[in-house]
Amino acid sequence: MLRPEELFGYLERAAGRQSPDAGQRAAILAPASAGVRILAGPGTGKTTCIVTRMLKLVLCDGVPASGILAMTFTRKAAEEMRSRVLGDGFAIIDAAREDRANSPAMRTALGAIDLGQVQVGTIDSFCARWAREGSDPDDPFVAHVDDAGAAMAMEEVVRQRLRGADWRPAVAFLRELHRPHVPINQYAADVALQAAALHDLWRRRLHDRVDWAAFLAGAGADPEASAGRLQIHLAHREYASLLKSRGAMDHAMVQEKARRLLANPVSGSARRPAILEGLRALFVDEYHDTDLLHQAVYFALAGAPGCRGAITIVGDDDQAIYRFRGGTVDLLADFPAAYHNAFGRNPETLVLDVTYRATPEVAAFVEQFGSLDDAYQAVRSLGRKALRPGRDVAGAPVLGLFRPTLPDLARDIATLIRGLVHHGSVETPAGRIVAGPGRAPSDLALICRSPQERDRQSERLPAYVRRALADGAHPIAVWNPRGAPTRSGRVAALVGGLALRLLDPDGDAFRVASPRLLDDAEAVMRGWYEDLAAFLDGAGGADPTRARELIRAWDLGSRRSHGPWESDIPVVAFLYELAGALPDAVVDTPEFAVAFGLFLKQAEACRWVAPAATFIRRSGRDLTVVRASVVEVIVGLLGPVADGRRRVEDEGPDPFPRNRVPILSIHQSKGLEFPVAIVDAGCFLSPRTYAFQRMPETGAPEHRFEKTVRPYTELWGRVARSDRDLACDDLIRSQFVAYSRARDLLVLVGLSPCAPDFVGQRPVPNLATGWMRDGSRSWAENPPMVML
Amino acid sequence: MTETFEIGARPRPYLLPRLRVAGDLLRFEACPLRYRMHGVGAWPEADAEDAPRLAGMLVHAALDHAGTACRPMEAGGQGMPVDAVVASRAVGSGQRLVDAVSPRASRSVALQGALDAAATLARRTILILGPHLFPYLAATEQRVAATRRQPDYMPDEVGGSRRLRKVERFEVSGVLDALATGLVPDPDGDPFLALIHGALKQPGVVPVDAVIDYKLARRPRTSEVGSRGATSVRGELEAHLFQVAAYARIRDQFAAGRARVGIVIYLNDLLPELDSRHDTQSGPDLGAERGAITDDEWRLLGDAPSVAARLHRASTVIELDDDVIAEATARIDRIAAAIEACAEHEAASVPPRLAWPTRRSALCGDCDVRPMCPEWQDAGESMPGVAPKLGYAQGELDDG
Repeated sequence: MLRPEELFGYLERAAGRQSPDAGQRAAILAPASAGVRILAGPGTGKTTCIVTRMLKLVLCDGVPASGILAMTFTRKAAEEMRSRVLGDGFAIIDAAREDRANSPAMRTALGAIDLGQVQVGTIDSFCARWAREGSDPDDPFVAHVDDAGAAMAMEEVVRQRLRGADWRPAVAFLRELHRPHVPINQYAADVALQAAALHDLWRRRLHDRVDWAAFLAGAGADPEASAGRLQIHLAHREYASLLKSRGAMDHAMVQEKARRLLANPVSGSARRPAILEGLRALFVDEYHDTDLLHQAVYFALAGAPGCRGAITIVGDDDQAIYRFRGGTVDLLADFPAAYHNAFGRNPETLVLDVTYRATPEVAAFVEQFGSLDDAYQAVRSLGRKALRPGRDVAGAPVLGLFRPTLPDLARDIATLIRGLVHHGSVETPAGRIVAGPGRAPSDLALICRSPQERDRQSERLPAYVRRALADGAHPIAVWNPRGAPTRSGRVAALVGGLALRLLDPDGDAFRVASPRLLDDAEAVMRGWYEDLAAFLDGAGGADPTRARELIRAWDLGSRRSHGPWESDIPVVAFLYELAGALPDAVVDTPEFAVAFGLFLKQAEACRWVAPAATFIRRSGRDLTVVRASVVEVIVGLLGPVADGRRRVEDEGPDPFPRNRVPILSIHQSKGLEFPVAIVDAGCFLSPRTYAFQRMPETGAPEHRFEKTVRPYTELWGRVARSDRDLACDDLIRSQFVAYSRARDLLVLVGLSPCAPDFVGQRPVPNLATGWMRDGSRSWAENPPMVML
Repeated sequence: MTETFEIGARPRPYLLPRLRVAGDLLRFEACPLRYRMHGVGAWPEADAEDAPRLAGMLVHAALDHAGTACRPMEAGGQGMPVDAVVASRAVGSGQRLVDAVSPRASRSVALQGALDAAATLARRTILILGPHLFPYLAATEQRVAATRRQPDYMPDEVGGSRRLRKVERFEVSGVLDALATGLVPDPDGDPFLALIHGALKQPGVVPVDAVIDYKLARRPRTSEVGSRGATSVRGELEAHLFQVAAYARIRDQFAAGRARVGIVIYLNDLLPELDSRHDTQSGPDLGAERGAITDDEWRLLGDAPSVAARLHRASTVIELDDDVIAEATARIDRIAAAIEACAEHEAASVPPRLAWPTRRSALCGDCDVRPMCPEWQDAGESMPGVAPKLGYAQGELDDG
């Protein structure tokens, strides 16, 4: 086997990776059997570190490749990690085999190592596999419904409950947690809101491993509260039964099933997940976003006979931004104690503090931002060190671009982007910024707390930037799949409008379906009708010929180009036929794939949550059957797209279209890096509004949910922070993530009252621009950026 | 003097292509654009509800279940005898798997009928084939994977002469239906052994390993050529043989020894009495060129043909010698390079419908995305009829 120094040598020469620094070496070389907690700041090479440690275990310590299991949160991260294991690993093996300094026996042994056996994946995918493996041969197989499908099932339960007499206490309970500012009558009439809250509570129940019996008893003598909890319990039971009756489970149920199988394996049973037999070392990435259910899965795995606590976790408490999904950074902080309880010894804690991603200027800014708020320092992990720059070439200073109005701001952001993309450079007070060869619009990202282009009242910064970039002789397009108004956008309007035109030309079914549509779906669908009518009339310049042909063919019972329709038309086939009738100028855009994908995903989900919407019953049947079928398609297929329940997922495609400037939410940007990151640091004009987005005065729903269930979890007894403190901590963390996406240039943008050095009468307190939660300002006198 | 600061370009994510033999390589070969939509874009196939795919899934799962239960204890199985109880449980297992993909509530009467027929086929296949095959099984539904160096050229078929992007390798994988070991070729022995003996150039008495692939289809026949053309039919057969050779090649990278034989078993030809079409077929048969029994000959065998006769009719056996393996390897590399070239083209902001070529064939009649296909969209000509289903598209597309 290789010696570690040989491994590092081949890694550098054959795989083209930098030799590990001292901190990385310590983590890589920790004993194979050790428990290891790696605290890794942004850009400090955690993926390199994990991958090299895996390779060290296999190539130096002789651990079988099949005994290595690595778990991540996203498919993208899993794919990249696996690629690195195979790419770097086989490069090392090939180089070592060709190296005549190595003995023939070693070269032969290396040639027999199959790194493809290393298992890398998401916790969702692994749990699904183990749950399947652990099923009895006579158990029914189960399908996994996604969040949108699960939400639909929960809505069904709420509708059922609303018909009963006893649901009011539950409504009061849910509203208090979820939307206390919404009037009770309005909340009680909103099925989608109640279902969302009920579903959040269901997920927390499983992910936080809540002692449910204690929770039910927790209302004490208050009859109203007790009745509310009991109703919620019954609704959860109905939800689980409903999914079971359709042969489905949601993600949380699958993970809980996997945990049970892993934690209580039946020796020698076929139901014992095979992973427990051969596992030798477990790796978990992004531990700062883990929850109690995930941790229970990890510890059950690490307790496997061949593993015995050989678990390496990696995390950064500054980057914990998934509390709303049940993740809690407390588990990263408490890992040593939990590990000791489970395995009777202490894990090692190692710190990666040299950042190779960013210029020294960006690294220093990020470090300073993280250290700013005194109250925040109390929740940063012990042993954390200040980030140190690993790149020694000086970069551009951080820039600040704050303007009085959104149009002004968008115009100047567009000028900056245009200069770099079209002219290759921009002049700034700090100096000349030059974009190198091979530059593309996708090198620059606009990162916002929310990429939504408009809220209920008005347009937001992304919309202004989109327009500003589109103006002029050399327009640049943006890529904003999550923020663009997809459901009311052109693609959705044409696909949805054509569907409605074909299925329901007189609007009869639509009238029947309307009471069952949620939120503003009815209005959105009316918009689809109108947009389609305008399109068919030739408005907008797009060619409607194919769409007109489709309508004519449909009326004759035929497809547009070939053959008759079957009597039961699968909705997926129907959707492809609609897409084929759209102009090339619409279909050949990245936006088409995103918006059309929503309809397709919903069509798939319908199999489990709305089976009657999977086929369109057409001719040769009773007309009432035909119309009932159309109603189901409108409600089950088109409705969730129109009301926004079926939405674009965080984990979009990467690489982004090279010819677009990506506009991303902070969550979308997690794990990515950009040569230029333009970060929305605050587009607020008044110190009276949007406090929760800049200087929270109270907690958000996720904090109230957490507080409500925590007394019934293993984490009860931990020093509690107020809802407001939790909200401020979370805001700082998400802004930390946004700022640390920059590699070469970081630009903070916002409206003037949010500028760190604003001297007007009504400065807007904002944690993102140097304010602290006690109301003091750190950057007013000397902001750590060059203002443009 | 003004200071100058340089901004670099954003590096591409480091992702090695992961390609599956059936799910990627063969689908791409059939039509790159269709593969882009369903394979890369994960757009669902409308025919996911269709009988052939679900029936294939049911039968494969049933054979896997029965093969695992009945294979020898020393091969990791339970060593049970093949009987009606085993077959029934196996079919139940396949049915439950199908239920997870296609809820019963959303099935048409026709689909349910087709699945009932598939259950019958699976049950009888287990009872007929099992006693002769299962004792030799070392593994069923086995995933095999290997990494290969990425060719650095762009194939002519997708145009241009650019070099591919610099990912050094790609991963290729597949799920082989069954691996049989310890098969001693014997012209007078068990039907399987006789079958292998007949296919080897120099049979000898050394035990061999065999990679086995089940197809829920009839062997492609020139008698069914019609509008498809003999080239298409021959290509289909070759694709099936390539598949077993590719599995053997992939497995070869880390397995102790290479499988010497690849066997494709066309289950509908094993039980032609369940197939209403078999009485109406006539004409030349590509299978006959490989020594299989024609429909006409089959009829002469009467009501209860022997297992040997059934296997003779339903199986195609290929010796996996160095030439076959080299050819399969070259084909893997060629397709992998072509896929990468198309992906590169798209990454340069070219719309998918332009970056991924179309391939006009009889399969277009079955294609879900043909309404969007530049080849057909405004052609104003009739589409070809529905083509026979490809065996490799059944039950194996999620192999990895």
